Amino acid sequence: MLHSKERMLTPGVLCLGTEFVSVHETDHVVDIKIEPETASNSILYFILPKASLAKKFTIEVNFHHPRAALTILGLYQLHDRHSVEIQTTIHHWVPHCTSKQIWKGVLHDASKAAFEGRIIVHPKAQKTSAHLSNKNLLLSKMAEVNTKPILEIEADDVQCTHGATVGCLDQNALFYLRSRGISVDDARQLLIDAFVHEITDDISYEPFKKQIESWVTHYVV
Amino acid sequence: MLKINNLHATVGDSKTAILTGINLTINAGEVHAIMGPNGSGKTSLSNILTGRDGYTVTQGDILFLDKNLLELSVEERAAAGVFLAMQYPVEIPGVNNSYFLKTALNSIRQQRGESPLDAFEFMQMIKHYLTEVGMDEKFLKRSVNAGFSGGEKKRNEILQMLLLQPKFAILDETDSGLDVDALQVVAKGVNQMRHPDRAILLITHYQRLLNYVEPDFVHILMNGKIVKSGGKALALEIEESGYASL
Repeated sequence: MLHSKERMLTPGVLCLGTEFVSVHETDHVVDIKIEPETASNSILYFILPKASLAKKFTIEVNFHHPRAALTILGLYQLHDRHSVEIQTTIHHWVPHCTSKQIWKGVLHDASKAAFEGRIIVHPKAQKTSAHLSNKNLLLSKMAEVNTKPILEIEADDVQCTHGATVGCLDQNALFYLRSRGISVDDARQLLIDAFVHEITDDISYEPFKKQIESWVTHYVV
Repeated sequence: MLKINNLHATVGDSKTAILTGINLTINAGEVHAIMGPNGSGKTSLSNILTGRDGYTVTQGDILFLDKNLLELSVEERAAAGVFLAMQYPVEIPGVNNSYFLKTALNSIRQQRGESPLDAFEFMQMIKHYLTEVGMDEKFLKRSVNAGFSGGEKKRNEILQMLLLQPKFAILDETDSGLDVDALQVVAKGVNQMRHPDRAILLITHYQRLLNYVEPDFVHILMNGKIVKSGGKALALEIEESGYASL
């Protein structure tokens, strides 16, 4: 039984620390809206289920109350010809709010992902801290990712960063592991796990840590 | 143990020859040193011996314990007993050092038909070797080589060598950039590996390491070829008069 401030919004998406969350689901689209309370500290975990029917996720966050902080830790892993589209929009309307997003993508086979992360800091939202990172690992020549981090800043006293990377497995690391006798498959898996676990290592909420880790491992295989 | 016959190789997509006819026989129980100026092919040779991508052998062959080494995958070579202590050990953030060491040891044991060690047996073994190389147990909890100093990385290489107990260990410039304490740890580790059933190949720029680990043979590599071989006196000769004198 979840506490009122702990909600499984849809399979793989867990929200902690805020009550003002709404979810709208249709066959292939999941829309999530969050409006964090004053001085709240909330987390949204997004682990895309392996067999997700939803093709598109939108997450809209509106900071209408001061001193609120929200962290989003997101992971999408796709196989075969699956594709996903993820859009996040963070509106900072009022001062002294913090948003932090770490998104990681692992793309196998001929899978495709589109990620768009928009941060809008409105004129009154001074002392905003907003950070967004999206890192992607391409494991096949057929895999594809489009990533678009967008910052729109209309206030002058803010701290904002955003960045996106797309890369392949580190061949030097792969060679190093294999030269110690580890099979190529195990070595690849070790490196993928290492990439993915940045998302789970930060989970401090014990009751869900195990569950989320089992999701991650499950989806990695 | 190792027999390299007329080895020619190119690197990358270029047709430029990086090795131009290496002949070298290393028997069990021997310690060989290869010295040579920058760009002479020392690191290419160690990479080809361990199966790194990016090199093409155009002529010649390599026999290791009577097997064609070039036909084996990187991990099969490791299981057969080839070990390379790398010049630049790779940092792997997110991969726990202890997990890495245990996976490596058990992968090799499995390929050799030995039973895997459980967590307790592994800890007993690794603690012993950590003491040998003067590393604190906290290194086990860190990511592989991530944020390690130059000396710590090289100690970690020696730790892996002691743990995996290879038959043939190549040390590629393991001595470069080390302070005296770390150099002595490396030397102690290598000397500990000296055994009638094992062979060691030291690749180095300098005579310095050879003061601590006495080689049976010294070879000078220049332009992809061994131009001179001799005993340890040859290393001293090079130290005094340089490669240009050859």
